[in-house]
Amino acid sequence: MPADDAIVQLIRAGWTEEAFERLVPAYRRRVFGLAYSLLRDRGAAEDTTQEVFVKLWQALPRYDGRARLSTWIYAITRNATISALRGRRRPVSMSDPAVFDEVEYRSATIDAGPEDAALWRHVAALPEKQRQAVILYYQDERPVDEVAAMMGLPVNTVKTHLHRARASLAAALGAGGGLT
Amino acid sequence: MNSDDPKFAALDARMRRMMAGLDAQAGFEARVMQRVAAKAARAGAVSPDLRAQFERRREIVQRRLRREAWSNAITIAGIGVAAGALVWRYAEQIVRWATASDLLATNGTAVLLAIAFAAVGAALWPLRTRLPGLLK
Repeated sequence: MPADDAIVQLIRAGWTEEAFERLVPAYRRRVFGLAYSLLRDRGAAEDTTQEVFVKLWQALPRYDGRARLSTWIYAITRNATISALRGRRRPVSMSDPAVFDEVEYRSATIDAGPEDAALWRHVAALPEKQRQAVILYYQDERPVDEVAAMMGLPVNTVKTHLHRARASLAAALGAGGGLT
Repeated sequence: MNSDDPKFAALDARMRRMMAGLDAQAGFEARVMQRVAAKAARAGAVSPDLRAQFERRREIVQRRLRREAWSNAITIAGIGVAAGALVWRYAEQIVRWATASDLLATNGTAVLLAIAFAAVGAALWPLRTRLPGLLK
């Protein structure tokens, strides 16, 4: 990725502040998407995304280039998100769709019609890895290998999750006549 | 992924539209920079405090070492004075003993010099590491 190369060159030259200024807009959506796909709450995802960038700002001078910049950032994001999940007072699980529905319906469907709200609910009801793969895949029409890098999983595993998720959502879309 | 499959085409279009809005709220960069600046300010505030603490500790240790150096010097000087006073007090007996043992009769000057050097050396030996402390 050319943007990554420029950022890495700035870090190596000791220009970490300049590197950080480029890194934030380059990774904002990806970090937010990854945090959101696990947390399922926009407020918490935004807070975690900020936390991740503060961590990156602190760790940037120690980045040694052994791992790809994106891989390094995704690992930090996953760890921060898992910590945020553990730190929640009341754990929210996929087996508790009512909680997810409530949060998602209010935060994600402000501008959406009832059809999209129903689709959100089906996304919410997917198993965790499938839901994560679907969110990251569609957020920016990412290639599967990038989704796999973000999730820290093999490409074929992500392909399987995506295939199952899409089949399940397409079936729901068909059965619901557009999920109204 | 098979986006051309008509089974998925409608789904893909809707999902892309829905997920496109998944982003941090406007002004995110500014908020991150604020958080970073606050963190940096806190880190900067701790640093002088730690420096001051270190300086205070260093000053305390230096004072303690100086005090110890003085007390050691006074102890050694006291022992020296006491030894001198003893020699002065019992000078006659010492001379009598030395004369009676024929030690001075045979090698008088050499023995006296050796005793004098040994006494001075013994008195100064403990001072060899204390001198820098005394000079401060």
